[in-house]
Amino acid sequence: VQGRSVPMAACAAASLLHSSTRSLVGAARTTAAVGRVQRRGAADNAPTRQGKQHNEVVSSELKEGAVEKPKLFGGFCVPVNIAFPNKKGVPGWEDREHDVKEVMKEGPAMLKKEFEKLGRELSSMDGSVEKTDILETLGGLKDDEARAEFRFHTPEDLSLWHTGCDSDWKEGFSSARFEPTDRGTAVFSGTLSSAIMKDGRVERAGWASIKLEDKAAFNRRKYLSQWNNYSHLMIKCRGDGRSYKVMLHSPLALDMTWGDSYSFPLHTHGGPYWQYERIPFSKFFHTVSGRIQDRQQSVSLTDVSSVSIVLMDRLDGPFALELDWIGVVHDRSHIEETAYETYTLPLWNTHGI
Amino acid sequence: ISIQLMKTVVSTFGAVYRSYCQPRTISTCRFVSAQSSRPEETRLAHIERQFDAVPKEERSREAFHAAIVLFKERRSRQHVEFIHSALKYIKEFGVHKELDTYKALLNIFPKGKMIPQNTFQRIMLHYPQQQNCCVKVLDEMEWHGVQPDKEIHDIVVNAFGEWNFATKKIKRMVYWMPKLKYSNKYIDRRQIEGKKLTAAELSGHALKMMARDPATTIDFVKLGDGPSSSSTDAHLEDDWIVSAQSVQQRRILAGLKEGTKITVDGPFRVYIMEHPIQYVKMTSPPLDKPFEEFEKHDMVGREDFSDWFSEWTRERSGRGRSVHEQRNETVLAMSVLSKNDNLSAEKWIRYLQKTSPSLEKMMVHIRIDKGDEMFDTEKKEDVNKEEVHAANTV
Repeated sequence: VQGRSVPMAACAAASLLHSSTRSLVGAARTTAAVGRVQRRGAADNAPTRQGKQHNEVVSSELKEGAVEKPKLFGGFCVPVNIAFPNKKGVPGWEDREHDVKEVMKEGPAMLKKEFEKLGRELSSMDGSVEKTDILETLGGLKDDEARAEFRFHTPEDLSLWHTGCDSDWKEGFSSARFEPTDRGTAVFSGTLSSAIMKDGRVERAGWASIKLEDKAAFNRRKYLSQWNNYSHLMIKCRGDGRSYKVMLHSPLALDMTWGDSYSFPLHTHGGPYWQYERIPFSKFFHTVSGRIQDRQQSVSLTDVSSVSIVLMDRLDGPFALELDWIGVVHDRSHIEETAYETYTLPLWNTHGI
Repeated sequence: ISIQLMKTVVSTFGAVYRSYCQPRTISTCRFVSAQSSRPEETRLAHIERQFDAVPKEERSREAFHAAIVLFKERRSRQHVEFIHSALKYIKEFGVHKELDTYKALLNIFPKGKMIPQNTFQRIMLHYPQQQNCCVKVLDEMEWHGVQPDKEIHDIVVNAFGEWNFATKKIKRMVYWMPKLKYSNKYIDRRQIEGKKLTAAELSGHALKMMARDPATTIDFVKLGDGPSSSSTDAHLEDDWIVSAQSVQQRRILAGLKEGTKITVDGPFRVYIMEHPIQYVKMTSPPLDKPFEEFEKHDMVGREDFSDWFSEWTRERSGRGRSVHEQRNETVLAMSVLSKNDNLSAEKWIRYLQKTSPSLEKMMVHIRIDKGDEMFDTEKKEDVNKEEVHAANTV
């Protein structure tokens, strides 16, 4: 078979590397308004700006100098610290005013959605005890038994994941996006920039992340307790050789523990081969707001409610991480409880700070 | 002391001395100099002149250390301002990745003076400005990935005491950085960091990192047409290909049907430590059999041993899926081309044909001359047909 002719395409080549819809210059241009909460440079578990869902275009009709008004319903934003007047760390939060009209307009739709969600939850909570589920809960897992928890086939799957980067908080110039591919996977890509915003507050910059926000009805937390008896976290991904960071977030009830997370680097080897990266749960180290703690403890998955993948490897340039699924696998030969020293400090000792 | 160091010390001294020769109203000693009598020298010097004064051509490691040595000899105050100004310039002087830089900076602090002597000093941050400055230096060191050692830990301990705020920072670094330094099992960073590698060597390391088959051989092929090339082809000196292919890939290639569509795609970007490399891959369509990642195990199925013998023989005799045969494509070879164009790709294919003669019978499409480099996650569209070649027409 010689020289098979291929039809000439009439259309122009579509650029696959389309520019991010979020204009970075715009983000830098709009002045921050009132009472910004002081943030540490690399607050990589900081949530995305309120109201910004994945791939949502930030309204470009906003005039210069104007601040986006925080929405009453529908926005997603984790509170940062209840000690400050600005609990959510969002500019203009404490000065917000909401009309009754707004409640009347948005309230019913929101309530309907949440009740539907609750209905689905209750119907899936069947009382019958499935044999396989019970085994999973009691720890009767076979070797190499795996569970692909988060896949990226449908738009609903993707809507659970929110992107965040330093430019969302007007602290840097990175960009990030999380888009589906035609292979049933999703790509977390963008550009990292360690250029510092010259506002006198920011010392270091350059981070981008995707975070899972899977909430039950009425914004109740869902825990990943079904992962409790598995030994390794498994991510099937295809990176670009850069070192990402996986974080398992376990913000509990107190505001002091809202920054609690367990992290470990996700090194990618790049190339066309898919990577089944297994990270034992015993290797995750305890971090608070991204900072490694002195006192280490192993992760308890009954408290973990979210997973995120962060890039902050201090390299400027574009990045891409294609994710096929995120799940868990059990390795019966893995008996390590924690990879780091754990100890109790003497009673009258302040070294734990 | 080497002559080079002497020269830089003298030149730095000349540039910097001016800033020191100012009569100071508070200090008891006066710097004696013929230049201090001039009226414009009586103004207070800016502490940042130390590094800024060094002209750009002379900004080197020796100049940096010379400036620090001069400061230590002359000044007994204003350590913090000096160190802050030094931190701004370490990248320009090219010393940001060396441990000696940070040791020299922290050695500026006086030893013993700032160690807390009683409980109140221990509770309150004793010498807060200096401790914060020390933490900034260590932050900078951590940011650039410089690994600490015992000597720098001892420098900080001698300056601030064993259990102080700044010392805790260096203790944390000494504990955590070695723990995580070699967590990346895909590269041997001892071979890459701090070494001046050529583009070809770096490409070889990158291909080694990306190749998941341990039996991959990486070949360096020098192109260039030999003595017949004209004198204007001097740029061809840097024409090479680093090709990575394993035995299994060659076997897969040999087993492909005649006329199979083989695509040469690229350039894609991969990072090896901090260096971006552009590579090219040769793929064929995926196998017909479905890609099974998970085996379903029912409770009943787990315990079913009725077909145990046939299952066992099937496992033993059947060929499993190799790592190259992926869900959406089968990777046949990878390479890094010194010039990312269709011509170099054709040369690569001709090189591969030496070990895989069946490649001549395949329909090879080369799609490299597209301009934009991408990541392997983004699919190249089959749009610009002018660039699509068939190997057998070449």
